[in-house]
Amino acid sequence: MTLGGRVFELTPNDYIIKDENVICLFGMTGIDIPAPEGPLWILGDIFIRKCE
Amino acid sequence: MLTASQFYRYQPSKSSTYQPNGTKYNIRYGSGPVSGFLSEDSVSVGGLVVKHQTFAEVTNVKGLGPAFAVGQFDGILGMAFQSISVDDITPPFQNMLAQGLINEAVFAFYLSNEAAPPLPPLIKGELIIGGIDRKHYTGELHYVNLTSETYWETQADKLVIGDYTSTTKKVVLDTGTSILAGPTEEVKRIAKMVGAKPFPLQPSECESPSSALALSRSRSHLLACLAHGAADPLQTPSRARTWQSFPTSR
Repeated sequence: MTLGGRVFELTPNDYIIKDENVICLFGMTGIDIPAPEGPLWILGDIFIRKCE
Repeated sequence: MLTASQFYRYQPSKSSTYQPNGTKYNIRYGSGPVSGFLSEDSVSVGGLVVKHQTFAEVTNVKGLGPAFAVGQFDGILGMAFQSISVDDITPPFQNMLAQGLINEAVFAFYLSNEAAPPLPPLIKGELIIGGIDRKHYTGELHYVNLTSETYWETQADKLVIGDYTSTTKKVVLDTGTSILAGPTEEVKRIAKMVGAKPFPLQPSECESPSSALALSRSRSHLLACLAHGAADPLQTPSRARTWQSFPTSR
């Protein structure tokens, strides 16, 4: 992810939510925001935790 | 099941500064609709007392999903611009500035990476209003221009996952969304690349599982979790809860 010329990198450790080693959730979901706001990506806590 | 008594509730009758408003409102979050009516009172956040703050009393929390039942929070504090505020209500941060409670139009979030215990309090974090805590970062701050004063919205130069480059460059930074969210078709493609499979998050999504994606280590175990989780949110694994407070309409 490049924002304002700077690269922000997420590793699998950042975007995979492990649950007591039983399941792993991929921290990404589909959301279709209608125009004119969308389409867009929402960078939630997974991104902000790592890159704020 | 958790009961309402485990939440702090607003009781206007106990407040001498309460001013009734009563206007009904509706907000559609990613997780569903929330409704109620408006009221006015002094709102205290970390010792800052905002006077004459209009806010939304919630009478229907259904749209907050299972996260509200299991998460340890009593409400939502909007930190975006007034232009997307329902009924054009001035948000608390803007009022803090106008009322001289903070000198700088700056706030910062710190989200820790500390492992969460199985029960609340969950992951540690801080919202710093009126400044930035240098303890929580290294290096220099990097400034990015906003593309509009609505959400915290900007244009990415590039968004690459593996050998896939996203065609969508508009991005919104939102602490109210737990994970990452993007156009369904792109997310499906990325999920396929990393080997993630569809996984319904909420009971309502069981009929058409589409939204969340799980990387399964043990397929049978995952299905067992699903069967339980769908019936009772409290039975879902503690860390598997995600939710979105991103408003999808206004």
